[in-house]
Amino acid sequence: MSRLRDGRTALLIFLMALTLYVLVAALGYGRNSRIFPLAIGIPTAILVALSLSAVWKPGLLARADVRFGVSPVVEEPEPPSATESPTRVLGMVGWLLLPIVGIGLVGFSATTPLYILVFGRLVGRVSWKACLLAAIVSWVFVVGYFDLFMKFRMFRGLLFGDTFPLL
Amino acid sequence: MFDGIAAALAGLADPRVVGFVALGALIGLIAGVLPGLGNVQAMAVALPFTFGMERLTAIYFLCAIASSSTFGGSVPAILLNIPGTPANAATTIEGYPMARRGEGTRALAISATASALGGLVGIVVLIAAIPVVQLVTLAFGPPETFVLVLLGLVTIAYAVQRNIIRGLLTAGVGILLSLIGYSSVTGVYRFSLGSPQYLWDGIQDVPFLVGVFGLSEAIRYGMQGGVLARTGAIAQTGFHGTLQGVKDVFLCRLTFLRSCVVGAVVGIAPGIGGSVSNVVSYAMTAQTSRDPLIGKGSIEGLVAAETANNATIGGDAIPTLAFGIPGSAAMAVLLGALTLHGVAVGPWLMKEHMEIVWVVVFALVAGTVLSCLVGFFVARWLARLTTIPTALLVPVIVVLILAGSFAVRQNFWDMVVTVASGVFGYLLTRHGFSLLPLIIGFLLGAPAEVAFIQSLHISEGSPLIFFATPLALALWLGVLACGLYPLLQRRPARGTAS
Repeated sequence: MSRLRDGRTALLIFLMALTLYVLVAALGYGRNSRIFPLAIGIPTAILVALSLSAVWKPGLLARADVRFGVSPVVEEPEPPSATESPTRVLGMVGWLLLPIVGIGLVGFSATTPLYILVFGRLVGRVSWKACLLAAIVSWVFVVGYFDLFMKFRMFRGLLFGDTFPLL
Repeated sequence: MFDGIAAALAGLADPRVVGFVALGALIGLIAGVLPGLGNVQAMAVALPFTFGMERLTAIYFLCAIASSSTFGGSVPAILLNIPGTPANAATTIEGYPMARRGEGTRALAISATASALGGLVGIVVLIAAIPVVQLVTLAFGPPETFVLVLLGLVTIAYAVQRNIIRGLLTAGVGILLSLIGYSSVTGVYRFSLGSPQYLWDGIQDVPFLVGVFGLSEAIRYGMQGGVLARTGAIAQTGFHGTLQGVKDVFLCRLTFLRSCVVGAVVGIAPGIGGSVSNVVSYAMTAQTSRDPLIGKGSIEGLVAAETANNATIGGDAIPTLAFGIPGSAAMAVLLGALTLHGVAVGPWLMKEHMEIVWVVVFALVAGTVLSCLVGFFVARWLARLTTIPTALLVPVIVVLILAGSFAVRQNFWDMVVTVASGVFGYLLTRHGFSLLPLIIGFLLGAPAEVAFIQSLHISEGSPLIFFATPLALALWLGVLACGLYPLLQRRPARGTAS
């Protein structure tokens, strides 16, 4: 049961689900549309299944290890370091979603400096001076380059009248 | 050919292009100095910024980044004992001891000279290969193109030096992801994941590339915390010993030439970059050299390491430009850039866009020479960049990546795709999968399907067409050799190999 909770197993199950989705969906298309997805999807599903089997029998894939100048050896996957616990990974993903939410609400102009200030101060306790400098330079770059120089219309945010495109 | 050269050179006559080349070289140099970052990440972040530039300017800019980070990586390798990029791993073995005994400037001069000359030799190999490769590409029809893509994927899965099953698996997933959306070959909207509109054009190259290569690295930095590199004092440098360092490279002629050959050959093999040539060339020199200082600050060892990793860059470009199979991760990003700028990549690139080939050549030359010249003189200041706190670097990278991925199509959901790709890329690397096969599979999936369907149309459905020509058979042999070689290798008893 502990192996099922292992990160690599979860990732492989996700890859298997993705591959199976492609295979099942492909069966519903015409011959020309399904032949290539099936030609790639079936071997991929077999490879994912092999990798999943290796979770319970670790030496199974050892023969397929590749090293130049050294023969393959049986090797257990390296355990993720302590700094990379699932909680920390989730925390980091949260920090990545934060600017998306910010940009969605108030746009690039406000989110760019705020995000750099908040991340720098809360995560790294970087000095106010360094954070402010990085925030200003990045703001000038994003707004200056894209909005003013390239004349792109960067997202202004829902609160300032922009809307999301259809999914 | 001469039209292509003229068109490429005309670009260099524009001061704006020269400015972008210089900027690219500087960005590549800085990315090389920062441990963990390199030309791939720098190119991935810079890629969306090229949208709106003229096509040739964008290629000049990105190639300048590609060619300059390897020397940048030698600066912390020599002054701090921290390789700036994986391609400088062996540089630390000889460079840092030299710096410790007060020969930092000499070591940097050796590195700059060997990097510049090695890079130029690699590019000469690329130029020499162009006419030969042009002839070979004429023999490629749809069946050969499809088998070539397979060979490229298998070679890359083999070359990433982990596990070929996992390499092929990620390549397969990359291809499957590339099939999402409206198929121009069959006219069907496939694998929409319930999205009626957004996925019509499929997962876009730029958000996916910058997420997988750029954002995944930002996540790793964020997890790491602290500063980029914990280091002691930066070794003293001045300008004393500069000329001696330049002379040293010319005194090690044989080592230099051998390292050029190693670098160029390693570069031509798809998927293998300077990280392999740097180590292979150094190991060959260490085994054959009579220098008693090998491992303790040997000039010969340093020349071997720094020549080969730069000579690889020209070699990397050969399979990329000739067949559309990226020679390295940086070249995969370049392929993404070419696609972004409307250039179809594959064996037909040299027939239709020779000017792009020459732009790549000139940009690699300019980037290599500029970065070595400038980098040498500002090395000590560059080394200080490694003390930047990650908490300052991560949000800046994240914001730039998000702005860049939004700007290309001005679609909010592209940023969500970027974040999802970044997390996916991070999880893959965390669990021992290489990102390169994923990206290559993603980039080559659509052209592979076109070649596959066209072949079956030509043969009226017979799969024998994939084995019908000697070239296709030779390519199949390559596929089999690369796929089966690891499985047929003799296995030593458990625990006998390190």
